[in-house]
Amino acid sequence: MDLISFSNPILGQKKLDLLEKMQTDLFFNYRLTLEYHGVLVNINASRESILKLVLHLVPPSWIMDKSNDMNLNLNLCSIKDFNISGFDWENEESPECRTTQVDNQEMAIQRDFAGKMVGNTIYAIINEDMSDGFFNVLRWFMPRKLLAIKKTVLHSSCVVINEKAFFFLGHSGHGKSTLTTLADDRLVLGDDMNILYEHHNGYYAQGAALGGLYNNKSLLNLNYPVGAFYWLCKSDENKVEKLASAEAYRKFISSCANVFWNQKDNQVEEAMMKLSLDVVSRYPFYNLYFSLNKGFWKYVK
Amino acid sequence: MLSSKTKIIRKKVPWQELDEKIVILSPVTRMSHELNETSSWIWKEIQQEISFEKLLGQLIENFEVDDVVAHQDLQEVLMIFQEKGLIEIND
Repeated sequence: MDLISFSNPILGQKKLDLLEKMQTDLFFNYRLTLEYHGVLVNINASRESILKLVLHLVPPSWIMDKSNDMNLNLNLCSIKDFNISGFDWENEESPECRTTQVDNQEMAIQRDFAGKMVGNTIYAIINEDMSDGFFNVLRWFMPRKLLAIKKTVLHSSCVVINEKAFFFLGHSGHGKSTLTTLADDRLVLGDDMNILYEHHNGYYAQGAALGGLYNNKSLLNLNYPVGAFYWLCKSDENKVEKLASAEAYRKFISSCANVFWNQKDNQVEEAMMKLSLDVVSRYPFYNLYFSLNKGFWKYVK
Repeated sequence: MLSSKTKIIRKKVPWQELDEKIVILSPVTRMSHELNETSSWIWKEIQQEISFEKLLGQLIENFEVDDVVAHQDLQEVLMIFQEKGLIEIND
C-alpha cells in the first residue's frame, strides 16, 4: 500500500503490521451469527465488549441461532488488545479509506479501522468505544457482498412519503443529511447510506445499518417501494428538472457506495452497470434545487 | 501533437450507451464521464486499435467537416481520453 499519501505513514504501517499480528496472537472466542440485510455473517470477536457493541447496533431479529462455514467470517479485535489509545489510533488527518490488493488479499486502512479480506474471511481492528470504526469496516466490504444478493448501497438520504421511498443523492456536502433535518414528521429511513434492492419486479428501499445520524435499529427492517430519485443542489429557490437517461445513469452509478471499481473484477462492474441501467429505465430522476424553507417538499412525489 | 501513424488503443473500461450518449466509468479516476455526440462516435470507432490517420479520415467523412478543424478536434478529444486513462497512444 502506498503510505506516502497518509499524513501519518508510520501509523499506517503500524496498522498493516497489526493486521498480521492479530491473526497469530489473538483468539476470537466471542461469537454470534447475524443475517445482515440478507448476508449471513459469523462475527468472531476477541472481546465480549465488541459483541455488545454489535448487539447494540443491529435489530435482535438479525441474530441467528448458529453459524455456518459457508457464511462470511468477520473477525474483530480491539485497539485495546494492542494497548493503543483511541487518540493514537485515529491520529491521521485524512478520513479516506485506502485499499490495496496483493495477490488474493485486500487491505484497507482508514482513520478508525484497519482491515484485511481474504475470500470470505475478514480481519479488522476497531476502537470498540466508538461505533464509527465498526460501521466503516462494514462500509468497506459489505456493499460488494450485498451486490452479490442483488442489493446495492446508495450514498443517499431516503424519506418515505405516502408509503413510497424517495432517494436523495448528491456529493458530500450537497445536503443529503440537511434535507432529512427538514423532514418534519416524514419517516427518514437513513441520512447517509440506504439500500436499494429488487423485489417482485420493482425496487425497494431500506435503511442501511451502516451508521449515520439516523442510526435507529428499529427502522432497519422497514422497506418501501421506490418512488423517484432526486439529485440535490443547494439553492435559494426550490425547483425540479427532469434528467435525461445518460445524466441519471451517471449520477446514480456515482452514488453506489464503496464498490471500488476493480479492473480485475468484471463481475462487480457488470452487475453495477446492469442494475443502474435497469433503475434509470424504470424510475424518474430529477435535479432537486432546494432551499431551507421546506417548500421543496411539494416537488417530491 | 499526434502523427498520422500514431496508434490509438482503447483501454478496457466499463461503459454504457444510453439514448445515443456514452457514459464511461473510469476505474482510475473513479469518475464517470458523459461524452457528447462527437466524442461518443469517436469512442465507438476506437474499439479496435486504429491509426490516427484512419480515424481522422472516418471523422471527416462522417461529419463532413473541414480537415483542419477535424484534426484539431480529434486531437483534443484523444488527449482528453488519454488524460482520463481511457486510451493508450503509441507513436
